[in-house]
Amino acid sequence: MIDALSLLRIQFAATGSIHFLFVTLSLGLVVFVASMQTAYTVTGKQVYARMTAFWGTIYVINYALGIVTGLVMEFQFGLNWAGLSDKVGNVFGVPLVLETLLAFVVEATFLGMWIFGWNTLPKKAHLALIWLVALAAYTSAFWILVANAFMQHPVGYELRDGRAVMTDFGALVGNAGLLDTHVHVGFVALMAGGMVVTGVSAWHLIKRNEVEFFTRSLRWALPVVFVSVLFVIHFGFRQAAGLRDTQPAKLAALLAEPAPAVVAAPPSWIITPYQLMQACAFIIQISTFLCVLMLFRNAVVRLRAPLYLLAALAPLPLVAVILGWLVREAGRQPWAVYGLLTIQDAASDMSTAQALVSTVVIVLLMGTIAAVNYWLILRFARRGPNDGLFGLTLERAGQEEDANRTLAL
Amino acid sequence: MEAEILLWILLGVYFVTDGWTIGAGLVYRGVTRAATERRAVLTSIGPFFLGGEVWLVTVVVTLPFAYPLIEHEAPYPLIGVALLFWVTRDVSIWFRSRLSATRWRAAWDWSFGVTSVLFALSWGLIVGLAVGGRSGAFSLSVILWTLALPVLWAAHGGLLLVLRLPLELVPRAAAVASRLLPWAATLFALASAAAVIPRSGALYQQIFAVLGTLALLAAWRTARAERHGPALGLSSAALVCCAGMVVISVAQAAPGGAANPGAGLLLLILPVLAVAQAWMWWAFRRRVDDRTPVFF
Repeated sequence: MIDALSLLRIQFAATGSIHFLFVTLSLGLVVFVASMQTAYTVTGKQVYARMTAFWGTIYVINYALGIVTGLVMEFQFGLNWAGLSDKVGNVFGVPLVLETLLAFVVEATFLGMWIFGWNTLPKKAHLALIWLVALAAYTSAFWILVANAFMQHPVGYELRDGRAVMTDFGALVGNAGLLDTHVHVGFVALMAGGMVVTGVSAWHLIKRNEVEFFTRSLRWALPVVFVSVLFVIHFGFRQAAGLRDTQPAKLAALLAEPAPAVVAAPPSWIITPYQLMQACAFIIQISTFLCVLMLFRNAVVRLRAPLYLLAALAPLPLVAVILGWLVREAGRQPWAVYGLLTIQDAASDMSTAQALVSTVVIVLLMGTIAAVNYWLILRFARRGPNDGLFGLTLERAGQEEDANRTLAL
Repeated sequence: MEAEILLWILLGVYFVTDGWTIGAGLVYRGVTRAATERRAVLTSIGPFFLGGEVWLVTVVVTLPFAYPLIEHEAPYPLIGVALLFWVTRDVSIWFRSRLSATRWRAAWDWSFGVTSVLFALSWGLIVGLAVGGRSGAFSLSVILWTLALPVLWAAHGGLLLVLRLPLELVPRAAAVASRLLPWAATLFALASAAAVIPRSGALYQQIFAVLGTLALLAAWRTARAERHGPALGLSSAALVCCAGMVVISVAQAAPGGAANPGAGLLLLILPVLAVAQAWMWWAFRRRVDDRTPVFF
């Protein structure tokens, strides 16, 4: 019989994985969208306006799930992991509060304005909005990683009456490996966003659909992916090296070495996702390197074969994201906060039945809406830029609605 | 004291700004007949939707930070259920216009209406338990709050729609708002009276109760005089009073009562956020018309 703790872990892992998939793509895509809009604002060329609208729509559809799963996770900390806030809330809560107040409020406010400011706000103000959204998104990622770095390697606190109290904010934001992680995650996002742009473009180019539009999109994204993956690999290995000081048992498990003498070692299976993640990165590195060379005289488009490869590889960075997340978080086990609080003590006091109901409901709900959202994204991506959503006015939307109803009748 | 002020601002802004979306969801069916009209309602609240609900996230994160032991007191299952309604409401808004199929849109429209009602009722219950729940789980005041807050939000959302909807839809929204405001005032007065009059040492809450009731009565008068802008300001004031009562109760009930001294520093961030949100409200203050871009 499964126990409450395992259920709560499944619930958090499922929500967290879905959250991570969507926010990684949002983080990556927003940079492409902002750059395309910048190109449009500077040159005034219509093709850039269309690129901004098309990739921007994919970005915004994707954004919805990041928000919704983020909300659920925020509540899970309080409802399912009360021990965490009890023991370390005074420290762990700081980056979370700063994330919402310094980043998330700004991001959500400006994104709403960007979506509805299409063709109505002044061009430069509208452009400034998407860059502010991007800046807020990467700031948000930073604060979340500060919280996560504390769980991996707690610093800047003092135990008073058994509870952690923050004593050194500087130590918290200067935590070992935090910068490596943030740079790693930032480039992972660029790689994931870039591969989606490349993959969707490749798919349309195979059909020789909107050739100019998608060739240009592909030529924007492919070099970015190649450069990003180099940084991803470099800062990935830097993090692994940093484990020697912070979590030697995790490093031993990743290298299949005998565990050093520590209180508790992580599960040995984390070596599998670790090696698979590396394989994903190397596949992306080699493929995009070859394809970047073939950008010369557009060989990548004319030869067709590379297009099939690029379309097939589009979801690979997202697979790598989940694998990397598993390595980092499962590799911290059995600790919720390394060396300070076990997951057992972090979990709320909850009956198995209660944990079962909430886990089944959350996993089903999150899984369903994630699947529907991906289906909507694929459907929109397949239809191409002529089905552009941004810039549609209320009047045109009404006419289309009437036409649809007549058709249905 | 700083922790209370911080939470009061965050919850107050949330009640007012997400109150537009919740309220629009509550009066959705009453104000609209056709799918195109429902699109107009979603476009009216659209720019404020994300920037409004984000304040609840700030409350959820700040509350246990400000009062470290508060989570032992929270009604877990109720909050969990409210969260599901919230998520489903959000998804309804996001997914609704992504396909043009009539049935798809009708289904999400229905879901938006239903989850808005359920979410508002859950909030009413949570507020009731916070403000008046000390003397037994389901006292009269808890039941009254469960009704008062949704009715108040419905009137509040109706008033925003009067200001934002295309002109031809305004009479319906105005009629809904005028019909609801006297009910909102009555229920608010009864609910807060049942909660705070019997209690000693609740001076500030009693002041909030009186001010909130007066604001709603004034909102009713101004709405009847066709001055819907000031009426929206007054319904917002009532919601801020409601948030004040909740925060005082939460602070009193906090185990140990000690607030985190760091909470005061967070107040310094709020002016920056106020500028961002003020820009949003200003940029989208005008009425929706044929040329307004749609998304939701």
